[in-house]
Amino acid sequence: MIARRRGRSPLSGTSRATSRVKEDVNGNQSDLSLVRAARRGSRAAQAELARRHWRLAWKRAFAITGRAAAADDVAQESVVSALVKLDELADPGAFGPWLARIATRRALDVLRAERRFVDLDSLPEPSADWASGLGEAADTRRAVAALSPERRAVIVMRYWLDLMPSEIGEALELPVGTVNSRIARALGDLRLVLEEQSHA
Amino acid sequence: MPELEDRLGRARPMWPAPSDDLERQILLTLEEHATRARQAPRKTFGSRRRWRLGARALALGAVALAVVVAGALLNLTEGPASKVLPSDGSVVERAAAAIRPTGEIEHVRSIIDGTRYEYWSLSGVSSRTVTTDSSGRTTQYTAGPVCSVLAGPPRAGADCASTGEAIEEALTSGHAHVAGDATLDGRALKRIVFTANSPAASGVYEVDARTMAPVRLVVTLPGGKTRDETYQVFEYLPATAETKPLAGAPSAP
Repeated sequence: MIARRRGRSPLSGTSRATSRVKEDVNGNQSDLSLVRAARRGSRAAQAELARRHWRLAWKRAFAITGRAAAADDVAQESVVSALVKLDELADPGAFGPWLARIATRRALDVLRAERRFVDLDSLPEPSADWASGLGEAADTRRAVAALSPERRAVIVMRYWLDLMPSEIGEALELPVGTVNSRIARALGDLRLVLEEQSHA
Repeated sequence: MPELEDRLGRARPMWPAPSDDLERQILLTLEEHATRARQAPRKTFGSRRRWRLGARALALGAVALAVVVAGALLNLTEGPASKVLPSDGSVVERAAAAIRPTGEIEHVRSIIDGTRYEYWSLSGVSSRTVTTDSSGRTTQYTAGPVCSVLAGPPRAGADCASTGEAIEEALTSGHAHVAGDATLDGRALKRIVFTANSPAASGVYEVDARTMAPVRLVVTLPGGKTRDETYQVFEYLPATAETKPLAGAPSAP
């Protein structure tokens, strides 16, 4: 119950909207009712949405950027941005996917920005926390880390986060056809990198 | 490509769990945001008019103050160019001296392809970067120290050369020479052409003709890619308890 959390939460403001939040049979509020309450000004509902979904944003950001510190920043900014712009959410029942889209685009921005500083085409070191280690799996992950930000993002989302091309398209605001062709090109790049690795 | 897709599936990383403390940080940030929004006063017609008059007065005052401060800065301190430079040295030598690090934290604000980048990089430790794209969207992140494209791929975070160090190295390598004058928004510049030792990058570096402060750097990388960067701020700060958090490092030693 949101009301029970008041004493502990940093977002412990009172709101008439809180009492209007509907609960399911287990006493949990649906995202839909929380979004509606948050739009009416309930800070408790905002906090509950943040608690429910920030880990999803973090995982998406970590998968794409490959660094925990960057994922922390992206998750925090994405959650705050999503709740500030809640009126722009077209489907109030789909807060989670919307937050994931915001986190995806921010994570990609971070990855692009980082490429400003180093020429990653010739970067021998893994540029992602998940790219370290030994063996075939680690070689594959290093090859993924070496892809361009856009291609790396679609590979990570498709094969490691198990998203369908339509979901990737939504996250990146791309047509499904573009997503499929980007995946195909990324797989071609990967094959080349892995062949080079095997000959080295 | 089914084999490759299978291989990708086998390489799926084990995702780590984020810190629980992050949830508290997020909720605190939300709370701060809500408090700021609540404290913003409602504007009536009268208050808006008063605000406009006040804003005009403030703007006039700010312009006057900016003129005074800018004049003082031009005479006294212009970031890295504030040092006393050898008047008898060549342009390249003076430019190299002007970019030499004078503090542990490199603070740079620049524009690349319409995107504004601002970073504070603590040598060998960490950096914090804020980017603002052409639509005004801002992204902030922390990372290892900023490494220059001129220095080649870093072997480790602590070994990477900062932008200032890499430019200085390129200018003192013996392959840099003055290639004439230029202007940018009416500002007189000296154009220096150089070849970096590694990774065989070359570039054009433009500095203020009087102060030798960095103005623009165009780097051509192997493969023909170029990066065109215009500097608004390029300065060094001492690493203190106040400045280290700017670079994403803890204030305590």
